[in-house]
Order: sequence, then structure tokens, then C-alpha cells
Amino acid sequence: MLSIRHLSKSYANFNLSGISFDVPDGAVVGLIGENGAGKSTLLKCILGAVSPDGGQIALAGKPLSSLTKRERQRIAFVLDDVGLPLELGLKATNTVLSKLYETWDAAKFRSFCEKFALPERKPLKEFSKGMKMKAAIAAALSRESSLLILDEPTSGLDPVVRDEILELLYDYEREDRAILLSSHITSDLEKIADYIAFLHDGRLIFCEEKDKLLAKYAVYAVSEGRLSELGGGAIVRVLKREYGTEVLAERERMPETFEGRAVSLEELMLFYAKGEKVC
Amino acid sequence: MLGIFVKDLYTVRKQAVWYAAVVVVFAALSVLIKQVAYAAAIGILVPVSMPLTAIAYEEREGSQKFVVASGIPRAAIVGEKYLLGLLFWLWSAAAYTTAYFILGAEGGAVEFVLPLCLPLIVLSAVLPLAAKFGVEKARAYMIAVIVVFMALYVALMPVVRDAAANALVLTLSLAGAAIAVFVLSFLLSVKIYRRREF
Repeated sequence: MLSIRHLSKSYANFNLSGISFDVPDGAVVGLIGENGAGKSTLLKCILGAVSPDGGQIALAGKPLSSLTKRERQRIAFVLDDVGLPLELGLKATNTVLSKLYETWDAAKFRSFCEKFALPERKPLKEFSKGMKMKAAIAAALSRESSLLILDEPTSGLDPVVRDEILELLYDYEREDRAILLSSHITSDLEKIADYIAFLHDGRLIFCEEKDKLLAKYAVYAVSEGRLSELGGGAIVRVLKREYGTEVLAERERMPETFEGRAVSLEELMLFYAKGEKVC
Repeated sequence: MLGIFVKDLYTVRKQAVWYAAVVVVFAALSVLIKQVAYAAAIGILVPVSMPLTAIAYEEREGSQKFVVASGIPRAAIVGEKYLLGLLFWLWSAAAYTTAYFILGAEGGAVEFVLPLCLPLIVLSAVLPLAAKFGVEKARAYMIAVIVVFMALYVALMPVVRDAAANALVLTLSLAGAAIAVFVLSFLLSVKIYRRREF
């Protein structure tokens, strides 16, 4: 669906470089990384809000720069700051978006708003954060799209609203569509993502199938003495803490005498962001 | 472009009604005190203020990124703000023209046309600034631009009167220059906006 190759973007104090990965048809790709890792810059490049310095982005094989307006509008999105005109109520928003998008479905938008119990007459600026996010999701889902991009859609929301939003994304018809979802809340991605792309310091560390990724690695609590026994082969990262040393390693390459536990996405992120490499 | 235009009209509707009423009040005031300058002066302020107000809302709400990401061409996004300015220019120009002819104001075509051209020229100066620096700075620059143009207007009036012999040429030149500056300003704004990141 979406293909990114060698994407780069430079700022005075930050570089996004050599980003290459795919968002396959029918898949949910979760984008993780700490603050300032480059997630939002990457999403803005895809959405056309930022011009990359190099590399290619293609939707269904066609470079973004050569997409028609209608084709471009097949990329639906939910921005972290919502972006909808906040002075307007939902009825006026529906009218405006029907003029903005060529494939807008006004009835579908009304139906989503009713489903979310969003007040029709209030201006959006009086909505709670969760309600604004639901309105943004309703807007994103009420037009024909083949790719849905979401930037931190569940950030700052309570678990109930987060769960509702995840269910909606799960229901998003995905036979010939895909989702690219950026989130700090890795537990949300563990529920919904098929692939995980991890950005760190402007570079793509990995983009792998989530289940394979979580099965491939394990966390081992080891003493300093036993750490030297292991050698560098199996160990991916070492995290030394006050209460002990933990090792992220490939299960299959670890000696059987070591007992590991399952790794979470959050831990994977921590190991890659803060852990040390062992040579 | 229509979608953004409708959005802006919804967003600035309260200010739009207020400004439209102010234009009428100033035109009526001009007639009452027999001084067309009031209608001319408000005719500069209103057409510039409306697009700036709309841009200010967009900057505050982050809706510029939303519109850009929606695949709307940047030229259409920029053009819509010029259209919004033109709409309010038409309204204030109609009020000024009505006051002018009710008063049977003295002076030739040049003196009538100049206050109609000035708002277009000020708008042409301010909108590229808003595209480049954002609306807050553009508002500050707008005051400076208006002061400069008002000073020029006052300073040039004697020259304009002296040029009455060539009134038709001067009138057409002024109108032509205003339109040319307006078009060039639009092209410059598009160029600036294409480079802008959100």
C-alpha cells in the first residue's frame, strides 16, 4: 500500500535519514519511538505537510508527488492536534468537509457522530479531548480511503475511550486498506498492530512483524559475572540498572541454562533507546 | 477551494457581520458629516482584517496542516484568502461608492479610484507577509504598511490634483497597477506557501 524508500529530512538539530519500510495491504503498522525520534516528521512527510530532502514515498506504487487530488485524498488521517476547525459545530463541519473531499459521505459522518454520542450543536472547541479525537476519527473514516494514518490518536485519553478508538480501528475494513499508527502507548499497539516500526534518533532500527518480534526476543536477568559468560553473539542490548542487569537477547541463540521472560514492546523500545551494545 | 472558503465564512461569521456593519456605519457617517474619507479609510482596514482573522484561526487550530494534508493544492489554499479579501473589498467598495455619489464629492476620477485601489495594494503587501511570517507578525507589519500608504496618499494628493489633465490615463494606470500588484502578490504568496512546512 505505502512504500517508503531512503527518506531523509534535515533540520538544524535533527536528521531523519535512510528511512525505508512498507505498510502492506491489509496490515496495521505501529510506529514507535521516543519523543523527538522523528515519528511526526515522518508522518508529515507522508501527508505532504513537510517536504523531504530525499527519498521516495509511493502510494500503491505511485509516487506521492504525482498523485491527483482524488488519489491523495485516499490517505485519510487523524492528527495529534485534531486540526478540524474548532469554531464550527458538527453540522457545519460536515458541510465544510463535504466541499473539501471529493468522496465525502455525509450520512456516514452523521452516523459516526451519533454512534459516538457527539453533541451536534456545540462548537468543537467545547468538546473534551476524547470527543475531539472521536470527531477527527469520524472525519477520517467518512470518506473513501485506502490508507489511514494516525498520529497519537489515543494519547492523553482514558482507557475506556482508548479502547473504543482501538475497536474502531480494528473494525476499519482492511482487505485492501492499511493503517499506519504512531503511538507512545505500546500496549495499544500490542493489541492492534501487525508490524512494528521503531524509530530512534531519526533512524529506523527495525520494522518487523510484531508476533515474530515478540517471539524472537526475550529479557534475561543476569549477574555481571554471568554476562561475561554469554559473549556478544546472542545479546542485542544490555540495560544496567541499580537493581540489576537485564539483557535483551535472541531466544534461539541463548544457552538453555538461561531462563528468559517475554519482552514487551515498551521494553524493546527501552533496550534499544537506553541499552548498551555488547561487542 | 470552496471547502476552505465555506470553512472561513463559518469561522469568521461573527467578525464578518460586525465588520460589514462597521462599513455601513462609516459610510453613513461619511454622508452625515460630508467627509468621504471615513468610508475610504474603513475600506482599507476591513478587506485586510478578514483574511488575517481567518488565518489566525487556522494557525491557532492547526487546521492549515489539516487542509494541506487533505490534498488541497497550495495555490488554492492561498487563493482562497485573496478571494476572502476581495469579497470584503467589494462590500466596502460598494459602501464607499454609494457614499461618494450621495455626497456628489468633488474631484475627478482619480480621487474616486485611489481609495478603491489602496485596499488591494495593502492586501497585496500583507498577505505574502502572513504566508511567510504568520499572522501575528503580519498584523504588526499591516499597521506599518497602512501608515505608509496613508502617508503616501496624503502626500500624493496635490500631485494627483495637478495631474487632473491626464485623469483618464492616471485612473487607468492606478487601477492597472493595483490589479498587477494584486496578481504578483498572489504569485509571491503561492511561492512562499509552497515552501512552508506545517
